[in-house]
Amino acid sequence: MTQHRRPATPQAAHLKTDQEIRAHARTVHASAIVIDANGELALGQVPFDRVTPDQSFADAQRSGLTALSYTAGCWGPGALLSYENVLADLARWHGHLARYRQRLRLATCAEDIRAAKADGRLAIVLNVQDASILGRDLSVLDLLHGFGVRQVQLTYNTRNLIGDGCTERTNAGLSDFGAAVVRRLNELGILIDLSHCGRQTTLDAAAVSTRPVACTHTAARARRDIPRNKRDDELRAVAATGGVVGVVAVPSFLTNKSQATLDDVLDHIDHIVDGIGVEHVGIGTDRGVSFETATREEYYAWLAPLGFKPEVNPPWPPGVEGLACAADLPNLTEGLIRRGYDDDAIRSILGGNFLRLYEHTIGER
Amino acid sequence: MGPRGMPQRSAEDTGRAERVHGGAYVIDAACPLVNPKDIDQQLPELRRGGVTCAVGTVASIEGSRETLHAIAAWFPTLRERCGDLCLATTAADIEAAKRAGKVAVVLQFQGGTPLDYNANLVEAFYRLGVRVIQLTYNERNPLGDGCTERTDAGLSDLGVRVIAEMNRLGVAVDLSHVGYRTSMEAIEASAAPVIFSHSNARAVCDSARNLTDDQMRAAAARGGVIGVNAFPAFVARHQAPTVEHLLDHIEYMVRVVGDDHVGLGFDFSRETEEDYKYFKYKEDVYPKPPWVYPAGIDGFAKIPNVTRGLVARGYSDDAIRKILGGNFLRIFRQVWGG
Repeated sequence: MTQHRRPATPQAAHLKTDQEIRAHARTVHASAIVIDANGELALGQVPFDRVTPDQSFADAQRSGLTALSYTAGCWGPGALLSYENVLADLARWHGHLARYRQRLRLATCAEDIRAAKADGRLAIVLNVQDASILGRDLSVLDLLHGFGVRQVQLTYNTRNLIGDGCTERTNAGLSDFGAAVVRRLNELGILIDLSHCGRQTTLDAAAVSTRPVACTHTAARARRDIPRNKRDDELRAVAATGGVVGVVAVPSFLTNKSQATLDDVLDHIDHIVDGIGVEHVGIGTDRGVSFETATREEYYAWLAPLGFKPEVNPPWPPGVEGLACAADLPNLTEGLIRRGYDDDAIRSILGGNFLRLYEHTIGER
Repeated sequence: MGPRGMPQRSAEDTGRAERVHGGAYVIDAACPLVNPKDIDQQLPELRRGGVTCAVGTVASIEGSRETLHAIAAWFPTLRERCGDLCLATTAADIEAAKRAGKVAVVLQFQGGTPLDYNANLVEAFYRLGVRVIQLTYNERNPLGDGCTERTDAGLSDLGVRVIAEMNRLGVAVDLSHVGYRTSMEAIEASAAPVIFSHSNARAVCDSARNLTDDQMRAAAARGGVIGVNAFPAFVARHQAPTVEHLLDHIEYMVRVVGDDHVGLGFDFSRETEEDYKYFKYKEDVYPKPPWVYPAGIDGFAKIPNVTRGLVARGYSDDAIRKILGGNFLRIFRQVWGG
């Protein structure tokens, strides 16, 4: 795998003023296919129920997003992800896709994302973040595929029948059933997401998968040592499949400082680019398109049943300064210019790499 | 060690075997065939075998909903057959069944999947009468790895919480079918002694389902009990097994952990090709059905042959009573109370 590192001479050198940099950032951002490989669009679901649909679509416009991968399942307070919740939320989202068809389109192939860019809509890639909902029945994957799901994370934070999550006390590899799940996901053309998986499960899944895999929303453990972040060898294993690692905008994953900033996001991007090459890096904010207006109490009540341990429990306020939500993504483009990335590299990070990954997994059309 | 095949017995030995068997608590700690569907067929067999207590399996790999229905099916059966059967949730219930000439039924899971990732369900099922929960079946579940899983993961966080709940409430932790590391970590994590309800000695018959000496010793060191299993592929691998091979497992276990830690868990079952697929058995551990149980111990009715064999091999009346059920009764009293 060739490694395109950052150029020695920053291209920003020829951009003299802040004004010139910002203008250039707007041009690059507007020309890019921008993909948030793990985001959230508020259309009434907890805990984003105070953001109106109009606000959501205005923020989506501001973000410049072409596609967003939405997690079906609607983890409400007290309700863990379940098969019933996922089906109910998929039903709701198919309703949204019909109701807001001027704004949204379902993406079940890479071409849908390009078409969304052309007609100014936001493409939605439906994902499920905990394959425990399969129980021990592989055919549930066919059902999910039929309902448009194109991205499935093998585990959430804790153990399931497939593998261990990253906060689990153990570090089990992929089970026999897990290996069968990976093979079926490969056959169906569903992107395998390893973001929350434990280390051995991540390495095993990358080894077993015959198609590229992703960590859609994580950060570099070398920069911030928490279980939710990926060690360098895991990042290399994902890249070796031709996969992509999406960097989060979750403050506590980026830094132990009380306030994370855009620079922290850029530091993680730099680290991962240096380690595995710019063609394997993308964005998965793990944030809403809009800044959530839930209160501190509501926010923690929502997180409580999700198996987070204190060391990875996101702090309050939940936003990174400068990248509090996907609507702030144009700031990231400006930041990448200031860090010396050229236009092609920036476009690949913003979404080009995930688009290629989708082509290789869910298919071109 | 007795001779191979059915040993010659004196009339005196026969009389002694009958007397000991008739007076003993006979507990079979793993009975998939003791279920509402098969009970009419199995009850005469249980009677002939002198069984005091049958630990009936209500779930192995099913979720909460199916398990709820499987437990619910027991209640009308127990009501209609109250002259023959009673539900046992305490050791005193087993003793009362012996006095009344009934078969005591204990509700058991052979896997933690009915808990659906939710440790609170331990109490829910406890309230329904479940008193033995095996942590895993053969494959991985949310609590730990089973013994035929490709990996050997330890106990999960949820597994630790579930054991704490079982300890708090008084539910026996069963580690048959459980993978090595998960079983050793569970013995460590449990405040109460644990059981291997139906597992043989790997040194006698090399199967992933059988126990290593250190698993047996770790359980025994904390007061645990191991039930010897009649499933043919776990009794002998390279020849048609007989009751003598099963007695060899008992002898070996008694030698390794002593006669306070050995019991019976025959695991008599009858499965179809369809069941075989459902349970995802691996063929190197589970040959395809039909399964031919060992000559001399091919059903509940033949359990007195075990007593005869133990007499022939020179065990004392006291040791035989412990192995037939005294040890399981002791650990159930200790874990469940009453």
